[in-house]
Amino acid sequence: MEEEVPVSPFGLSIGVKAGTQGIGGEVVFQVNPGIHLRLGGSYYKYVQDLNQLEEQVQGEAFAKVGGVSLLANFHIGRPFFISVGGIYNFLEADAFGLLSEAQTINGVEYLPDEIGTLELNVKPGLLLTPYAGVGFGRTIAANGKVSFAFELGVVYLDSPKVIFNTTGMIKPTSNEAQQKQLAENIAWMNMYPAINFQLSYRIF
Amino acid sequence: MKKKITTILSGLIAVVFFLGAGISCKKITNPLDNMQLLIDYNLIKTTIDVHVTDAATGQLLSKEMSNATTLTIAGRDAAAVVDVLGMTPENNRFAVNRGIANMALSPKLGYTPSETNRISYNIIVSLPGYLTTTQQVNITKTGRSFVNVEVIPLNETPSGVVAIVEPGAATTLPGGQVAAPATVTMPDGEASLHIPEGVVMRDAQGNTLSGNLNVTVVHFDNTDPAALAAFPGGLTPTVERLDGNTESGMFYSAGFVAIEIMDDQGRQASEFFDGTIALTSVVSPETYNPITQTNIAPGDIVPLWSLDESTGIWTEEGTALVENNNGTLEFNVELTHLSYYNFDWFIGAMCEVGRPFVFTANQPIEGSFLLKGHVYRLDDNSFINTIMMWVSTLEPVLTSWVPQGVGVRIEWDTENSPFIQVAASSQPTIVDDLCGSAPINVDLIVNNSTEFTTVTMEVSVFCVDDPDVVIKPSFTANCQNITSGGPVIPVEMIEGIATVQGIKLGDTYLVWITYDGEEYSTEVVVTQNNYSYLDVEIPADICEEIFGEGD
Repeated sequence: MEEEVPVSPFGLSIGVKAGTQGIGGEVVFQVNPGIHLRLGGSYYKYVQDLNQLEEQVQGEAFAKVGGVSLLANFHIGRPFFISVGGIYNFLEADAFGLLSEAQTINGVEYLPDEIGTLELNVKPGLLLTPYAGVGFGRTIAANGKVSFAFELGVVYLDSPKVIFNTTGMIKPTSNEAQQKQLAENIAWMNMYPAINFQLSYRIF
Repeated sequence: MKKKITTILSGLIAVVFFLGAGISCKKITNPLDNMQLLIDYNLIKTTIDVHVTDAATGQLLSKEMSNATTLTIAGRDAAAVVDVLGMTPENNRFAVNRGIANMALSPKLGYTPSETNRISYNIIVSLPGYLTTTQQVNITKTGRSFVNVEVIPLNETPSGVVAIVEPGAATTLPGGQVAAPATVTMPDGEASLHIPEGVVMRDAQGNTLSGNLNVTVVHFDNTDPAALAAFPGGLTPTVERLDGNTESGMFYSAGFVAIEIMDDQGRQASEFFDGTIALTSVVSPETYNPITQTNIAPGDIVPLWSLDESTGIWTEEGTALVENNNGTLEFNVELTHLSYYNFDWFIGAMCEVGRPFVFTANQPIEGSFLLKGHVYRLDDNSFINTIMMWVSTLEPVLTSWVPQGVGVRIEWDTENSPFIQVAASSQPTIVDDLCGSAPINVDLIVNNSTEFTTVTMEVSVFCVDDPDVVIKPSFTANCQNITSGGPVIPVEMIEGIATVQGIKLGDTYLVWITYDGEEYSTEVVVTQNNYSYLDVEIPADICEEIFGEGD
């Protein structure tokens, strides 16, 4: 998959990538043929209208992935490499909703705002998240201009930070004890799978 | 509604976790494990606690007497009155528990009380062996209000009240006519009732009374504060005048007579036909005439009023002449219908919201407490009413619907509380006019002994068929020291957190809330400052009424 070009001990490539961290780009610097430093960024935001999922609910949810990463690839034998580093992580999931229609309680009509809104926001416990992965291929071509890499890894997030807010009649639902309970319930979600496909072009 | 809210909660969490799906070495748990939908049932913004007190003992009715009590509401805004969860009670009847009935104003549009939207209704209280009584309630502000209603036991009347019960005082012919004239006279001659031969009596449904007629006459001495405090209908009523107009003001009383005539079938006389009944009522020569501003005298003319004890409505009947009968002043009137009769001047006006009371204590008070004040008119030293204030030392207390342009003396009653007293400088408090904007200052003395503490309690109400939906109530709780037998202490409860100060460490307290006639209570020996208990299950049918069936 590599185009034949003269080999150099140093090198620089740029690439585009897509995966569970979103879509982005990367600059790869070859320190020597076996070690590559990668500075990249990726981003993707998915927005969902909650009313499309449940007609009794109005509101919006989004999930945001990506980050700015600084990684080092160690080639352990062609064509495999190990990648380690850190990611300034943009990962965030958020949802805000309320009932779509007024409700009648004991003959009195209450607007959705009066019944209450509910907002849930989850972010990684760490802002700078460590990453480790294994890959196949190269992020900078060894003997040509174009290279391709695929990698599988995991980002350590630590137990997520949860912001849980409710208003109106359901305001007590987000009291301190409930916040703590929810945080405990999702403490297991401390890692994020990383799957990445990357296509690079070697500049020199 | 709860299903929809649960749907939101579950849905949002599912979306969040789907979108941010993670992996972990830790055990995966359901994010909703042990989570509850907590509802602040704050739909009710105005509550009214009605204290039903035995006028003879000054104590709240016992639990047993409360069970036998019928408390109903009537009057202009009766439709506004609901229970503390917003339900309209069947037949406008409220349960009484330990002498207290809890009610609220509906949050429906138009029922929010304010200075320009006074909510007015009447409470009617009846129980066997007691004189049926009524009390007008006027609410001009949201928040918590208290009303005191005194009921009079016929076999043990308070000072200034005399009752006579005469079974078979008269009998009727088969057609319902009274067979022979009969006179019922009180032992000391305070009042007498003459029933002529041939008169026919019918109840409110038009049924003719027959057989033995049992007569009850109760006379109130208008110069006795205890009698005035138990005055059915109160002394600051709204009345219907002869011209059909409705007016509000204050009674200057010259006496009150309550009459009940009932046959053996329980039919109570309401109207008379083919004759009238003669009532004689003695009036104290010390009675103050606000027109002449001297004591009452023969020849004075006093308006006559009737109180429909089934609705609490006062109606002007005409006038009565003060007559001198061998040195005794008395009224003699002919009655065409039967109710409670009142010889009173009706004077003055009321203001919707009174001057603010500012309470200052020698140390901060956590939460709120109930303070009673017995209000006396300065110009004749006559009892007017009992005000009940829900006091927080941080906020001024406004009173609703108070007499205007009248100087008063307020004698505070802390019911022998060992924790809070009114300072001598404020006992009594003299006020030139209860209406206006200038604050009225009242000094309090709080016992700072370490034997007292402030306790917070968490109270939750949940549906028996859905324990994950929990209501955090914002209504009335009460507690009472059962070690030393102190008064009932109303408890401030907001979003399920009840705070009560002045609790004596080491003593046992009964804590309770009441809903739909059911008491949910627990006893606790106070050894700490925080309690989490009183998880109250409410039946599925009530949950359905609150939240809607399967909704």
